[in-house]
Amino acid sequence: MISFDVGEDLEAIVEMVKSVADDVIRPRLREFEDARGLPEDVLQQIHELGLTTLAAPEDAGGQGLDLRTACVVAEELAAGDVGAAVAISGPGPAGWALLEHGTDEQRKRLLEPFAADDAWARRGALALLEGAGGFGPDAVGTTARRDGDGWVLDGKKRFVLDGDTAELTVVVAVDADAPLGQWDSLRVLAIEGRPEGMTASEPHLLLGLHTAHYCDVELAGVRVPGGNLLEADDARRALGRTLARWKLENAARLVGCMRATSEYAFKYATERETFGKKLYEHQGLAFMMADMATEVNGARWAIWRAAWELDRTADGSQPSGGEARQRAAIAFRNAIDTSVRITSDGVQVLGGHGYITDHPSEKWMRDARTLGVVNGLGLDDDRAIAEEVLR
Amino acid sequence: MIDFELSPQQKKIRDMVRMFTTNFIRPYSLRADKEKKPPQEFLDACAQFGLGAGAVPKDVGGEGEGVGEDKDPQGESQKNRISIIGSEEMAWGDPGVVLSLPGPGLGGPPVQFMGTDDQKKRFLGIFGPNDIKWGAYALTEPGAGSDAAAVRTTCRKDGDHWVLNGHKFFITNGAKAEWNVVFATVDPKLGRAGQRAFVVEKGTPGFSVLKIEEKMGLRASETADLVFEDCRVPAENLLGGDALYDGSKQGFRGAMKTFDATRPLVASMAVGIARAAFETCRDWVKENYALSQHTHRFHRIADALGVMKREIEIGRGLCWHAAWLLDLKRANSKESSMAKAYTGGMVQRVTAKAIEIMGPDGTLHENLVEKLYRDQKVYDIFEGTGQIQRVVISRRIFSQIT
Ligand SMILES: Cc1cc2nc3c(=O)[nH]c(=O)nc-3n(C[C@H](O)[C@H](O)[C@H](O)COP(=O)(O)OP(=O)(O)OC[C@H]3O[C@@H](n4cnc5c(N)ncnc54)[C@H](O)[C@@H]3O)c2cc1C
Repeated sequence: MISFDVGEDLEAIVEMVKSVADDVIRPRLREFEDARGLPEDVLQQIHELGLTTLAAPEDAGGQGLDLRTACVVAEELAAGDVGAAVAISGPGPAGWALLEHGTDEQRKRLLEPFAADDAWARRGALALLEGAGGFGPDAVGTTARRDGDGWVLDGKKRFVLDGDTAELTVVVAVDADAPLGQWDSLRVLAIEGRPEGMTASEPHLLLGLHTAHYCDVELAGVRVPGGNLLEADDARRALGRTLARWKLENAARLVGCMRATSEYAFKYATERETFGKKLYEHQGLAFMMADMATEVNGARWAIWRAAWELDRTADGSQPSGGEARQRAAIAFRNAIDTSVRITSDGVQVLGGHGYITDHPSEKWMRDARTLGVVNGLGLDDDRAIAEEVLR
Repeated sequence: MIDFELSPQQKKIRDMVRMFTTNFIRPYSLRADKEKKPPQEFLDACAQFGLGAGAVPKDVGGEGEGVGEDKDPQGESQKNRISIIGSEEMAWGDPGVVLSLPGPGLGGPPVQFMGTDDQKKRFLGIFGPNDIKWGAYALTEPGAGSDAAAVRTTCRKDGDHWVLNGHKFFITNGAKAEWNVVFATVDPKLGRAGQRAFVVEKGTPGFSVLKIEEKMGLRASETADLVFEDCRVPAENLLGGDALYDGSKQGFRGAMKTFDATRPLVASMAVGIARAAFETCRDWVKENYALSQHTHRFHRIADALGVMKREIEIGRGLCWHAAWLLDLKRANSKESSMAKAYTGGMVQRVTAKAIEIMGPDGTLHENLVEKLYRDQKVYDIFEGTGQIQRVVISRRIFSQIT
């Protein structure tokens, strides 16, 4: 049955997250941006509320909640500030990879440490991207070489979120003994701690998202025990779903950002006057704001639709995974495009005032453009959508 | 006859400016953004090459060559066409630095259009070609941007002085300027008719700089908050003298006419920014896709580059048309606004796309397109926002039809 009802349980979580977003994050967003990260007290609070381990399985100390929940929470947090939403701790995309790859034993062993009370600063990372953006079997040059009963990793990963501090880094590499350019040749390996041979650059200074640490990570002969090879029956399906989850989480953050800038602009439009009228009374501007509101909703529903698709096929149904991939591509691609436009319009409504740092609008414009490209995953989405259309 | 060949002088200026920006602006662009000031190398070069010259007409004591004073081959003035060709090139070099070009800046036109001969000499004559000095234009206030008639800074005649009280906001080069053209009102209820324009010189008692704004981009350019507290301005600094403001408002309308010249100028800067982003992105694509031009990814990128190129060309066409009309002394308010409205949106789309194509690399602080994305947004805001341009365009369209 078609329903957009989030339900009582999620409603309660939303209320809680909303108060963090409004009261803790929003008032301090410039402080976080300047400090290039979230402070201890905020990280602790978010961890205590369980927001860092929402999706981890219950036997690993997590809450075992589905992707729809994760997306709703991600949007809500990002509605406070998208930079803060990206910078929270927890297993992050490494957690998504573990839901699609590996065994129950591995999930429990690798995710449990994130649930400990004192693990509020513990982070996971997914090391994926290498070249000029984009991901696929032909874009992986990092090698995994079998060595005794373990593996040795060599290569360089770029723009790895939390690559500098992660205690769990999931790496996608190509098996040195397998043919290049094939999904089945990819190996997904979990690096625990900060082993010898693994080094990270300083966090890049980017257009936006200064709170988040995107680093390049070098792997020079990094040894990974055989027990940390995360296997999946169908590599393409599993990796596709991992990325789909990550895309949707980020798409939801973009929607949160669009919502933030829209609501900020709408409020401003009821206060400021030009030519004897409130701004919203100028139809030229009112139409623009009406479009902003519409596109925020449209973007959210596309995310929910895709998240539902992934949730309902999490049991292994829909073997090819094509539909879920397509849905995620639609939602992510749309969120990227609309967020760029809407965050620019968010500045526009404030006029010159939107361009200075006294208001957050300029920050959200930078953040949205950055989040839309920093994963390097959006550019191939048109193609993913078309492929499924023409199948 | 329809012709898009640049005249010999237009070509000469374009090539000169291109040489100048390539050598003295672009190489320092990223550093200027970080340091939040125009690069010294650029200022030195301005002094050396006498760049202040173009701004000041010969008849009021300017020493320069008088850029664009020569007629085009058809015998028409080509001043405005030359100016926009130059400003596209300059902004291509750097959109923040270009606003720090020494000279009277946006303060020039009101002095030129409204000032008495004596005032033109006094205020424009101080800009020698080799001087590093600025003038500024202070209209905007915290409560009055698009709606310039809402200006609340007051002026009151007191003997042989005027006394100014108020707050000006977002004034480009306002703190470092030798003088600001300041708009104030004798009575807010009178709207435009109550407004007076003054030249307030640096160091005038009661005039102070409240702060320099922190901005998303355009950081090399100074944006100042100015305060006037019982600021006493000599009566001879009232632009045009009392006579200009007698009843008719004609003089003041003339001043508003400056938009017809400045909007195409600002619009062509947006074209320059878009071109800079486009070229940076194109070169990156050539380098990174040299061996994989058959991939699906390359084809989509190529399509996107095609759209960017198309939009840049459309924008430039609108700018050229608006400037050409002005050179021929024909009405061009609608066309100026079209150029400004289109390019303000175009430069947003082109720079956003350039980042997308370059992926994460495009967001790095050491990458020019990252900076251009921050810089460009204001081109849809100052000199009349995109919305205000549309108000102008639609009014003109429908006053022609009805
Ligand atoms: C970097 C920078 C440099 C600047 N330099 C100068 C300078 O040197 N001198 C100077 O005097 N000023 C300067 N300005 C100010 C600039 O000109 C104003 O910011 C601009 O005119 C817009 O005014 P505002 O910011 O008050 O926005 P507002 O006028 O408050 O506009 C807010 C929003 O409402 C919209 N709006 C307003 N009226 C209407 C309407 N009738 N119909 C539809 N929509 C409408 C606007 O388009 C905008 O989206 C500068 C600004 C910046 C950011």
